[in-house]
Amino acid sequence: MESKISYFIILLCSLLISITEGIDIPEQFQKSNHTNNWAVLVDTSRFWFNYRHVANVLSIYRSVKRLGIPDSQIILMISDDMACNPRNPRPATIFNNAHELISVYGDDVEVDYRGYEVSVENFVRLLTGRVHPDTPRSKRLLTDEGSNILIYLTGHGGDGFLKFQDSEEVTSQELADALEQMWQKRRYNEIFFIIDTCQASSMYEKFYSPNILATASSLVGEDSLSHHVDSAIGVYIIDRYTYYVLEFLENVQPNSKKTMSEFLAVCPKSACLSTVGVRKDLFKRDPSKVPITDFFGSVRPVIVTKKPIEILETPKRKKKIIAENKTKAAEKRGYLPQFPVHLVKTS
Amino acid sequence: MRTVFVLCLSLLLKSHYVRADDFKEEIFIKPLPPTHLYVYFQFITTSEESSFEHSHLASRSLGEVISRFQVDELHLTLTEGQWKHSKWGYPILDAAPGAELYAWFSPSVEDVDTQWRKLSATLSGLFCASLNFIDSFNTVVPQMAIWPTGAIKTNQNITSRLRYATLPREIVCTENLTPWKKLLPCESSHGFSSLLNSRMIHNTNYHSIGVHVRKMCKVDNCSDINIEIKQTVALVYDYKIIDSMDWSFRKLFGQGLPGACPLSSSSKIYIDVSSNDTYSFKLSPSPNNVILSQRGGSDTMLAVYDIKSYNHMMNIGVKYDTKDKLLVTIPPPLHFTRYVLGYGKEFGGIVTEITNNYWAPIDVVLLENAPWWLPIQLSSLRINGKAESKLVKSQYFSPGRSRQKPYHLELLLQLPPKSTTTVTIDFEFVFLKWQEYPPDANHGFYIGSALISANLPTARNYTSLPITGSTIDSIINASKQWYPAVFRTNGAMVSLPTPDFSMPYNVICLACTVVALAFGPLHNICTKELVLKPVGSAISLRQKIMNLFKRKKD
Repeated sequence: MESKISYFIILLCSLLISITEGIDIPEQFQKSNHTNNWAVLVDTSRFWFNYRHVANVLSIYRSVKRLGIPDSQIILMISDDMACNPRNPRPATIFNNAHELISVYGDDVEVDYRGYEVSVENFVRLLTGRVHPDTPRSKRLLTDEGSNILIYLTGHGGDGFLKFQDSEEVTSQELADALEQMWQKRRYNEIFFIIDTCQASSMYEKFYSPNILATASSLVGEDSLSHHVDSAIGVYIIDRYTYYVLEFLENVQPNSKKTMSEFLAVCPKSACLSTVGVRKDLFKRDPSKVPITDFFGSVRPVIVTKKPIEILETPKRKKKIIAENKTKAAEKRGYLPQFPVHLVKTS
Repeated sequence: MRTVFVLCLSLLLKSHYVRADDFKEEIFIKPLPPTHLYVYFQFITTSEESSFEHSHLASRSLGEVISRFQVDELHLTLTEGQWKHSKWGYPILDAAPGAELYAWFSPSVEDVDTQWRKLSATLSGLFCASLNFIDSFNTVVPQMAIWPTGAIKTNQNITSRLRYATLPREIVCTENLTPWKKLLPCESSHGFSSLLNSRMIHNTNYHSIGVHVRKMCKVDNCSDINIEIKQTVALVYDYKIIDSMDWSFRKLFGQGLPGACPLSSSSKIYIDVSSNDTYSFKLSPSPNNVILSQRGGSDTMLAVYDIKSYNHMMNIGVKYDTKDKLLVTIPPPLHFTRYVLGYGKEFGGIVTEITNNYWAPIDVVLLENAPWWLPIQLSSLRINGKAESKLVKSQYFSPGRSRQKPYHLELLLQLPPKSTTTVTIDFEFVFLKWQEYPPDANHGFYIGSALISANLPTARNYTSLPITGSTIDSIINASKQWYPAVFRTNGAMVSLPTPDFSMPYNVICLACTVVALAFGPLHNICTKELVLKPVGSAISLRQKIMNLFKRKKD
């Protein structure tokens, strides 16, 4: 009988401890233990009148690049060519503001997936890593269990889907399953998911994988609206949500102390005209204690060493192969006539 | 004595070392009167074949691609716009609109097709282009039209190792130029490449960037070879866009030339000033020297600037003395056009017209490359309207296969002097599968350009380098018997029978309406009985009123 009571007390204590631990997380657990940063930035709309979506995605591209994520770790997907579109009065530029202060296209842009390559299949394959073996490195998401990934999607969507190129769509369930597959394959540490589209929050409602912080430009039943039009270009040039996001990000420096909760509150309803949706329940940390650079910046692990590094074995060059090459080069080489002259002469 | 010897030896070694790896940059500028200006950049990196991986100038990323996939020769161009041969003459290197890729693989490659797919996929990552769309269904093996420009082992079958593909829809923009510039030793910070600002070069009528890798003989007997990586940019400016005929580097590129790339062994600018006699202009600053080049009966005056001797900002420009004169352009010996025939969504045809302006016959190879969704039949081939023609000296046809292989026709023609030859071939339209339509199917479908490989007897309007030459000075006095060139015609566009993709939705709506309309009466007929009402004798007006009240009571 006594043993039973003591057993019960121990159980109660352990339960109590676990509850208190769940309530406030110790300081060291607040810090992220990610080792690298990646960004997947997708514009899903085609056609000139969707110029603003390209400007949206390039605004985020510009910011993450400025804050330190290298081009090799940014997967940029753009469905249509706006910069060199014949309708663009200023070739090779994309502006997100009618004052045209910053060309978000810049002089050093690397688009990884473009045009017809931006499809639901390629997007899901990219996330889950199930790409064709010949796929080049720049088109792969080579993340690991220490990667913090920023996923930004923009385009036209509805309740539970996002259209790709006006011809197909990804549903919220498919997206949630793709993220779950990523989690099971240990392809991420944490994900920050941003979506700027109509009824955007419907896209993250189905998520069920851990460590995802999600935000959306509008709730279900709301439209996301564009910000302003540039009469010289002739179309709306940026969406409201991304406009205010960029305004916020332009003031963020790589060493800034701004937190994710500031980012999540970046566009109040008075500015956005739609309600920004946030989903925190899958995310283990408190957004007000997570620095914004955990997702928008990049960790650069630097190990300071005072000792010289000793390389024990110097790799030996394969001399044999070189010798073989030399014997091969001895074969007769020459320039060929650039026209099938032999056929002309015989006839 | 000993120190002198050591010094000599070290100098000798050093000069040998420098020769192993070499980088040259050049610009060639030619006015294309009356309204255009041709600017051609070439950056040549040569390195020894054995030390390719250890080269300090050649790009490692490209070098690895070449050695990994065992490529003997590679040509990649990304082009926007159409070169107008009849108006502008011939470019140094012609390129097809969109993306064009062709390569010869080494004889040690067993499965060329797999290697080709891998190569195109890798290059797509390297140049941010959709080259991974190249597959067997859009690849041809040209039999007569293209020949390797490099030194190759002559005793082997080279044609079977060649693969050629174009993507006529491919767009060219900053994201292609950025990785292209990163292959250069000076990138875009110094030298001629600093002039390549994307805003200025995409504001042209025609722009084409290219990478050409070939093997060159190091010595005359070709016992040793070098690898030459040539990166080119061809631009055609419109005087209307730059607002005047007087051009300068500042107007063309938005900035002056900051000097030569410190890693280059030669940095030269050549300006074709032949039109100065008829249409005089002044160059400023004045060139280092002016060379007369006599090549195949045509004289060219070249003004040469050696930028290595300048170390300050330069703004080379031209000022015309008179601005109201109109120049008559001399048409080149050979020009061509291509268009699509027919109406409706069932049959059509492709016509290629080749005009020979020269007084002697010219031999050409015409390569028609039709995608699998545009099947062409050899039986419908007509030359000048006739099925049989004496002009055809040789012919090759490889029929396509649905979703696997394109249709490929090659003709070796002898064009009679002063004539136009019309080559017509009919095609039929094919229905694609539901998923095969691109998102913008109503935009139309692009047919790639045809290749015309010509053996020109004259060097009129001809600017290409001789095969053994690498730099632009090799064209000076380079008279030969023949001047071979490969041209690309303009592409074409057809609109395939495209279904209305909202049709299923419309059908559902319509069907539901029809069913609803039909169901109501049918249901009424089935459930309600029609009963004859007995008709009584005529009633008086008073009775009628009474009846009305009666009904109301009920």
